[in-house]
Amino acid sequence: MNTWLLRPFTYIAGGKALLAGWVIMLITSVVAYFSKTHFDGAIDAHIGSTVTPYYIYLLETLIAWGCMVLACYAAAALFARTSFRLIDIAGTLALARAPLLLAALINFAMPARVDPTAIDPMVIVFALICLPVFVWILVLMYQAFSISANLKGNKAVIIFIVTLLVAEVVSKLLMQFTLPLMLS
Amino acid sequence: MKQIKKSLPLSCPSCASPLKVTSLACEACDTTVSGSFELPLLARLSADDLQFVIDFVKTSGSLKLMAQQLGLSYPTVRNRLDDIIANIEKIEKNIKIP
Ligand SMILES: [Zn+2]
Repeated sequence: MNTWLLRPFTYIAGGKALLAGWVIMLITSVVAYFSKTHFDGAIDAHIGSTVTPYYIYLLETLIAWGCMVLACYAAAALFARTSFRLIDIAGTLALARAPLLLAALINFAMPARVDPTAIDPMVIVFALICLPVFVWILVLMYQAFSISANLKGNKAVIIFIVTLLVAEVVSKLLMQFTLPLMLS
Repeated sequence: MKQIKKSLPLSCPSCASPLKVTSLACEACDTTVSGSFELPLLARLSADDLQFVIDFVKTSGSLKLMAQQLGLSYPTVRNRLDDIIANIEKIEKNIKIP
């Protein structure tokens, strides 16, 4: 059970993981729409009060996942010494986002809709409750990268952290430029 | 008496150099041959790794089929094979330069 929660990609990867990951991402985007949770970044979650159409929630999820896949693929191309498959990177990283569904559900329990940029007690409570979820996702994303590219040890951890930061910046920029265009 | 599962020792317990075979015996007639024989490369793999290689050959080299049979994901099995390849390359190097 423990290995299934922390090392699921030992058992599932490739097309199966991609399909399962996409289904959960789709469900998560619907739940996020109703609980007004924005996953606007490779590894971000904000509670927002602004009225936004559903497809923005779906796009946010897709951009965040897509940026992470591209960044990990580039990192694997640079550093992996053995062959690897894009389908494994895409699949495992899609499934690694599954715990975001929990974060989207937890947000239903948040009573007040607040300004996500303000340091509000509710924002802090949300952040604290969701912290384990994000630690879990980070562990899963690292496993996804490590298993897909057969990279292990300290070197793999450092490469992964840099890759994650790049994906975060690129996804943030992409969302900042594309989402307002879609809304206008 | 409890049956002990013996495995072929691969490296010298004293200096960790690869071991050689110096005597072979026939249990039927008690004949012993001695000399210095290299262990075959595959025999130098750990029991687990060797079993993996045997399974790999039995599935006609299909990692997909092996993953299915072992209940593991494709990249997990692929990584296992890559690690064994790296191990074999290391053994080859060790044998060449004594
Ligand atoms: Zn020795």
